[in-house]
Amino acid sequence: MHDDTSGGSDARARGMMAEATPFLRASGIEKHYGQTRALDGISLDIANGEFLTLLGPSGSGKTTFLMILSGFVSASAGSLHELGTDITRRPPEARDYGMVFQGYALFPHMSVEDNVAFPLRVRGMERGTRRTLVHDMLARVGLAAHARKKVSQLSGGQQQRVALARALVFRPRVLLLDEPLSALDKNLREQMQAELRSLQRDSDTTFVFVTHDQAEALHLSNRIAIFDQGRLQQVGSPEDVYERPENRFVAEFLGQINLFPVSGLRAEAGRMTGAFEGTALVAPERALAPGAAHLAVRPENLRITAARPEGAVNALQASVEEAVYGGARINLVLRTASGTPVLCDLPAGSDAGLVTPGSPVWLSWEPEKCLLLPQDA
Amino acid sequence: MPAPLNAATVGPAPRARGWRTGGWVLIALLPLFLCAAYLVPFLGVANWSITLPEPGLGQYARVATDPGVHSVIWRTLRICALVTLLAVILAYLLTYVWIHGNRPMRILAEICIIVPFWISVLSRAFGWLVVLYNRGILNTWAQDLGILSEPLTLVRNDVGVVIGMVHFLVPFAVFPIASVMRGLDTRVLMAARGMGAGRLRTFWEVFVPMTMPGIFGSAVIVFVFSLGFFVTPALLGGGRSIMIAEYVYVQIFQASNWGLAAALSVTMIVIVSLLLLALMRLTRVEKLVR
Repeated sequence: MHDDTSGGSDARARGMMAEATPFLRASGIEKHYGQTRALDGISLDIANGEFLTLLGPSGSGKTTFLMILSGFVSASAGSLHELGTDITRRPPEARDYGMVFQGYALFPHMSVEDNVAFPLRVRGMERGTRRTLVHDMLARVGLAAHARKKVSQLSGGQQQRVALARALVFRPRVLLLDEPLSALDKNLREQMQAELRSLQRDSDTTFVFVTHDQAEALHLSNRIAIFDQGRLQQVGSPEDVYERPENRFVAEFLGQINLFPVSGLRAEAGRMTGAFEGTALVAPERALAPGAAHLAVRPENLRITAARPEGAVNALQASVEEAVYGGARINLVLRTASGTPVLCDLPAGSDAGLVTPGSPVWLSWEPEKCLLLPQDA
Repeated sequence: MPAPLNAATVGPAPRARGWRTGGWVLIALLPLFLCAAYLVPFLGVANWSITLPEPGLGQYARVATDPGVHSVIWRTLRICALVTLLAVILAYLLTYVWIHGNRPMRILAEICIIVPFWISVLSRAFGWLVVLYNRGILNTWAQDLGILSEPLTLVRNDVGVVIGMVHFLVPFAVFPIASVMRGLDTRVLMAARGMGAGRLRTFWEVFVPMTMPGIFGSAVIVFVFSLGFFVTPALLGGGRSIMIAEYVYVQIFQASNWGLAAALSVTMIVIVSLLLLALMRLTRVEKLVR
């Protein structure tokens, strides 16, 4: 009883130490389909017990990478190691990883309990133990009452739970999930996200989760690996990738962001100053190729005032073009004097007098709330 | 009175209507033809069965009691069951290669499935005769190579009939199986492998059960089809292995016992109809031909 609660944090602690002996290490993974490179040199360490999300638009290579982890697709180049052992050529049935497929891939000719019992039966577990484990697992995903039903009699959310139960019942070290929530409606999806998180916490299993939904990735993950065009764009905690995107793709893929092209960058006392449409803008210093760059600022980090705020480092004059009421937040579209559109996201009720279309305002933000991104990419 | 949307001005899209009536004509042609060419003559046959040689159910009583008739019916059912079993197994393997094999294997399988359709049933029966009879290709070669000391009797008996019929029916057995195999979600097979099941186990415990509707549909189609076989049993059975269709033929053209022939035909039609009815009850037929 006493170590039940510490199981999850142990897993995370082990995850922290993964630098020394990576649990799973992908090195230089490539996958070619004829002339196209679905994956182009992916190197990524996965820590034991973490919830890692592979995020990217469709065709970015995230699912291909998951399939290579599972062993269903073989890499054209590169290697895969588990605790130092080369498993690049190990067939899927010998990897002992659980997998939840898009569309669930349940066995339609079996009952719910037979579906969940399948991996145990394959492992030669005797009937009594099997039954206990299956029923514990079904109870955990809230399907104890549906054990004898056929899978076709269940709703989408219930089928999803069967798929999860079946993938976790044999206590795999790794659970691979390929867009498991994409078929569910919004409410159910949010509920399942919470369940996934708690299942992951309790089961001490490494989750590798594929999605194209950035909000889902931010909610669920310990770390997010962002894919685009077969390349790994950035890996980091949700906060890292959202607050400190390394390039334009990551910045624009996660949430919304305003990009101001700036030129003539100069570094000075830990900050960099550049010119945007004749106005000097300041951001934290960053190693960049000389020349032009983008200054990026999230809509929620902008402030709106009637007059230029006293002492503001970054301030631009703009006019409100459109204000959309969204309950808790108000979304504004503004234009700078020279016509560059700017998105702004304010808490509802703040500065209500200013957010009428046509009104001239000042936009300002702290230098620490913005960052510089390289021009290309 | 408010008229929010005037139906007369909006109206249905005019094409939809014309298509609907056109559709009925297209659908009706075949049933009309079948009525004229099959249903009417069949009613005539049914009429013979209760009027020849004299009115009454005498011929049906004979079908029910005559040991000669029974032995023919039993042989027919036995041979057809065996043919169905073999044809479905062969078709299953062939279809598996056709759908899951690599490109050259697929083409080879396709040839095995399509080519028999282009060759007449007569040529095929005679072809098998050339291969199988006592001084045929198979026996001569086997003897020349010293594998056999004396010829095997492969025709003029059930063996020849079964070989010929299986060969004819395999392509027909392929299609219901193929449609189910093609529609199978391969991720389910991947799921089984991912949970630790090897290839063999995945095949037996997941692939075969999931393709069962195709196997079942294929078996019913082959069995029903095989019950009416005439040319192949007549040639390869050589008058010794007589099946029901040949027996009916003999009753009409040699024994001139039209009443018995008609009663047998009606009995077979009833058996076949019941089988098809059972098939429709158990599976959704339209799924098998997609």
